[in-house]
Amino acid sequence: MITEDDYKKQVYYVDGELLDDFVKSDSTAVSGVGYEWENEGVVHLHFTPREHGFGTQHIVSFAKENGTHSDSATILVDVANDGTAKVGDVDVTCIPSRENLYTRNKGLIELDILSNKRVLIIGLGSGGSPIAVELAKAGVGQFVLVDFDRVELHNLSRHICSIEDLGRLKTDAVCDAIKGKNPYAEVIKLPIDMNKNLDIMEEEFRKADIILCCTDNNKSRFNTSDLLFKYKKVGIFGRAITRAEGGDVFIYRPGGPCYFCLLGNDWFDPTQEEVTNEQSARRSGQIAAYASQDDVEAIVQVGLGADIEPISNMMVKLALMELSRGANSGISSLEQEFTMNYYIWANRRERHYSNWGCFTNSDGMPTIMRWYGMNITANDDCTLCGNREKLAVGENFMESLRAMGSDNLEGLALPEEN
Amino acid sequence: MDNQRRALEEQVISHYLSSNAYQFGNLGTRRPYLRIAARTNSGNTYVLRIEMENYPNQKPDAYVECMLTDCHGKPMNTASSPNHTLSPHANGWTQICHYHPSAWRPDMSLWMVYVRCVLWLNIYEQTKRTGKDMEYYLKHMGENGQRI
Repeated sequence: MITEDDYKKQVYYVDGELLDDFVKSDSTAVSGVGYEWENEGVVHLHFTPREHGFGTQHIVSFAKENGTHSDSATILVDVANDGTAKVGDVDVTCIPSRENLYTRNKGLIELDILSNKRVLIIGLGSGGSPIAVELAKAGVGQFVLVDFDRVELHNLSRHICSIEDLGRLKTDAVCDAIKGKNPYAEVIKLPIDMNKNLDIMEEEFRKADIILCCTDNNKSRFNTSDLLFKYKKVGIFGRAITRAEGGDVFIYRPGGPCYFCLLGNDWFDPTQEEVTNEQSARRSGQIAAYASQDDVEAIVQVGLGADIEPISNMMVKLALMELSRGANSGISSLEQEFTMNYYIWANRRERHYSNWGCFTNSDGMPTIMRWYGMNITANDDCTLCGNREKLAVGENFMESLRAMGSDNLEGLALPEEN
Repeated sequence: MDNQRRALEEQVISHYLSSNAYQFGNLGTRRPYLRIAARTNSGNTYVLRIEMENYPNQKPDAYVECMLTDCHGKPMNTASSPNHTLSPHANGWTQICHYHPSAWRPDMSLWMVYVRCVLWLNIYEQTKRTGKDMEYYLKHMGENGQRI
């Protein structure tokens, strides 16, 4: 209960747009809800209950000069006709309206354009979730979030979600995180496996302005590539490789090389994958059904959140550049920088990058903590965007035997050549 | 799998096998399949069923249309590392582990899967003759496609 004296100790916030609506309405008094951060001297006032409340809740009465406060209210808000409000003698701070929420971004990005853009994010793990929030902070107005997983303990060290989100669907938790940054954002939540719901995904690809593929398996990347090609949409793929020792980002622009064209490129190894979660790796087959627990522990090795963030950050910049393309905003200069379609990042000089140069003495070699861009060219024989006139025949029996056979071939009647 | 892809797959298969040795089924649905005959060097014929859900973006599942028994007489109806098998079909058919899922790429073909399955069947028959496990002859495939 907030006493009369406590009124003066609090700081109050209210949604300015909703306060304006109340001032313009015929009502003279309405009830609302206040959420108090206990012992922190902060109360957030709302005209309607939040989907997920916080702190101690109070009944609030908003009343105009000619209105009468409700007797049951514990916080009385006096609203003036000029759109200002007070609780006792304390001014209520208005949260800026949609147009003014991100004034600091003005000039750098075109808020009007971004607020009307629809971004489809597939995968809300440690890569996808910060991307969603960063794009919300930049003023992107519409999100479609796809992920069927829930927030689990092993996510917490790298995910934007907190311990309070444990057990929640990632789509719900990330939606709240987006709304926390941009309450005006429209968010559609799809807690589904995209690989099993391609008909739903087709519709979402068709509507989206850009697609960000932040999943941890090739199957969904290949499906994403298919749909990007089909609907001629810009798509950005990002992934961390084993133990997040590095990663890469690929951007598909309609008419250009597709994700399949990456296959066979010396710089790109589709089998390198950071396996962060035994369950999902078993689902995708990265861990075989018969793998022992020792094998599993060797396979599941994760990097730090700080190892993932450069990759997410790159995807955000590319997405903002593509969404703002042609708008002549401050970010337009990136259009001259990010002309390539494939970018590589290394976090540590380990395994995959063990022969890279030392950061302080590279000796002409690529080093860690720098982006390296290159242009992947279209593959004429690509099974998605190429001429599709032939298909790989692959190994004959003898080659297959060499690939799979052990050294114990004595006595084995070898298959005949075709 | 679209029609163009199916035609390409058939083009490759028909180069090696006569048209009565294979048959596509459930085309136009989410779960098309290929039934294809496989003859081993000893002259035995098996029918393979290659299920192509989400093909070619997903590794196809390859089954022998019967439940095989191993060299010890045990049914091969479980995921087994020594046998190079995965979980069986709902009908109890033995599933062959041919490519590691992480090594699968959409530019691979049904023919490549078929070649591996025929090789597996030949080695399977060898294990029946010698009493040695499949693992004695077949190496495992790592996620990078290399044998380990």
